[in-house]
Amino acid sequence: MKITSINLPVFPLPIFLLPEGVTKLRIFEPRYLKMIGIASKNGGFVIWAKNGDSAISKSSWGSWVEIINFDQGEDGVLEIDVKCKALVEINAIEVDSDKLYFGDVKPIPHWSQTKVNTSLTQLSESLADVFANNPNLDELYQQKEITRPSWVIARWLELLPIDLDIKATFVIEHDFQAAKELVQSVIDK
Amino acid sequence: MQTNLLSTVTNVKSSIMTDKINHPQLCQWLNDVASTRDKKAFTDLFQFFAPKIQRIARGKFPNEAQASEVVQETMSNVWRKAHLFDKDKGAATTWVYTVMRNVTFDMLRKIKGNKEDNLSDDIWPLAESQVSEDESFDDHLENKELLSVIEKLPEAQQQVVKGFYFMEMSQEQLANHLNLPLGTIKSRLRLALAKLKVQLGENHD
Amino acid sequence: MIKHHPKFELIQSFVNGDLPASLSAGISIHAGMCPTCQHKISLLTDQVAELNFDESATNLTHRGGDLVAEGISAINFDDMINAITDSDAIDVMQAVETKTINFREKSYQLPTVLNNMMLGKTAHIGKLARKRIQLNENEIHTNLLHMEPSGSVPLHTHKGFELTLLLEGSFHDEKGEYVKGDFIMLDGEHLHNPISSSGCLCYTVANDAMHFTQGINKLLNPIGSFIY
Repeated sequence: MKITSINLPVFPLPIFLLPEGVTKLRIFEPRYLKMIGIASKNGGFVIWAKNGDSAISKSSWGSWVEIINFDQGEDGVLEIDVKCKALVEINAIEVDSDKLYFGDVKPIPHWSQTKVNTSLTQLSESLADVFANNPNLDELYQQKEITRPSWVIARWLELLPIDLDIKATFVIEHDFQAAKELVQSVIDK
Repeated sequence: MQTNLLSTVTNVKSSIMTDKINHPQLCQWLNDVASTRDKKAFTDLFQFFAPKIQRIARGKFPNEAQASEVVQETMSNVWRKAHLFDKDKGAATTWVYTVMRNVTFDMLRKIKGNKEDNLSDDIWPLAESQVSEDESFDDHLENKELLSVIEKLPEAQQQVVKGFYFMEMSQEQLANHLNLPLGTIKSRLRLALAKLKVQLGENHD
Repeated sequence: MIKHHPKFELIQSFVNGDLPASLSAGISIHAGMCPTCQHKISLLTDQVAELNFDESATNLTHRGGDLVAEGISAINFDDMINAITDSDAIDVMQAVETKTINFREKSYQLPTVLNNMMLGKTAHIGKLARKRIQLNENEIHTNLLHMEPSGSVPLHTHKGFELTLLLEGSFHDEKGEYVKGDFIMLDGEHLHNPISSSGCLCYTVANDAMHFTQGINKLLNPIGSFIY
């Protein structure tokens, strides 16, 4: 089956978000408000996880997200919750007159979306604790698949204080096993 | 007072990629109706909008006759007021939506036994610009000031206000969470990353 | 500077046309004074319009139910097109007239949104004056409320909601100072006592008589139905 490219708005933000991951964004720049308008009727947008001002390189990837909730913050700024539905490869990027980026993107499969037969009791419990102690994080996730190993590892990888460039190696180069080992070596005794 | 914007978004998402609205064409038809009273252009507009208006009206009114009245009234306003449409001020869909919403609003007020006072065009004017030049300029200035304030904040705070809440934990938070000394967390992270680099090297060879 | 704005949900309902005329007019007047909200309204209107008129939305309905398909065929579109285009008349935009309204000796310009609304007689109590706007919305009452300098509304709460939109002048309460354009929406949980040192004119919408809670003013509870 051939997967065709889709043209979507691209939002450059230094955020590492794997499939099923949720984050809250605050939108106030007019060009990004416009982007939300386009995104909400047009299948979402792509968070382009880029560090600093680096130009587009050959291996650009992003998190294709859809908007799952709207709200207005206490200061009146639009807040949206977005959930990643797939990782994508970003090919051609164009800029429109409002300095909004658009890219041709193609979904790429990721280990976090596959089934793994292993048990991670300790990491699951520890992650459940993180949710319990962080209401802001907790309320973002309506459904927590705390017993699914790849979900648990993906959430831990997002949370760990590791440089974005290193996290990015878990998009293509490193598989579930490597991610599990990394998380375990930091979290498990 | 619930609005269904969000649920609509979700419903439409799946199939939207292939069917895009041809905005320039709609604008052209509206302009042809305005400038030359072009009946063909009006028929094209009618065929595009009428079935959709009828479907939407069916959701708001109890019976078929009232839904038809919304179609008739909206489309005849489009015919008589097309010259008020200004393509520089917004999309044709936005303008027709405003006409339809206003017709619906006035009809609902009439049905609910309120009054036949047709207030909608005062509340949502069809011709005045939604945002005048001066206003958008002000808005822009305001944002510029805001951004210059943000630039002065420390990096971590900047990221929070600029676009997102930072979900990643700090090393301190992680140490607290695991109930371990910060030093232990730092060395664990260092070791884990060193191992990762070796693996990466292997993969690339 | 305007500090109080309608909530996002309220703006959405406004754009959808789901609010009563009284609240819709309040938001429209506020947006006329507030570029930020005006901008949000334009964005949302574009978005809602797109959603409503998207091809795929119609396709879904076609697939979804015979009922709607039947309904659509029930109208003869050709007849309707002919009937509409039969007339060559166009609607000419009339210049918007500016109306004024007087309270005591002071004259105020009426927001154009209110131009075609029926206004009742003015009633006075002390430094307060109110003019009912006759929108016939049952339990929802809409008024123009005028406070002369140093006038105040006794401490009160509401069972329902109370919208106060400042058209001219300013007032303050326990929470702070309010200025022209401020859109102040309170519900039953809030308690307040607005005082205007230099006088003001407000557009108010409330869906229940207010309830006075302050000392001797309890005796004045009838004033609630006077003001709101």
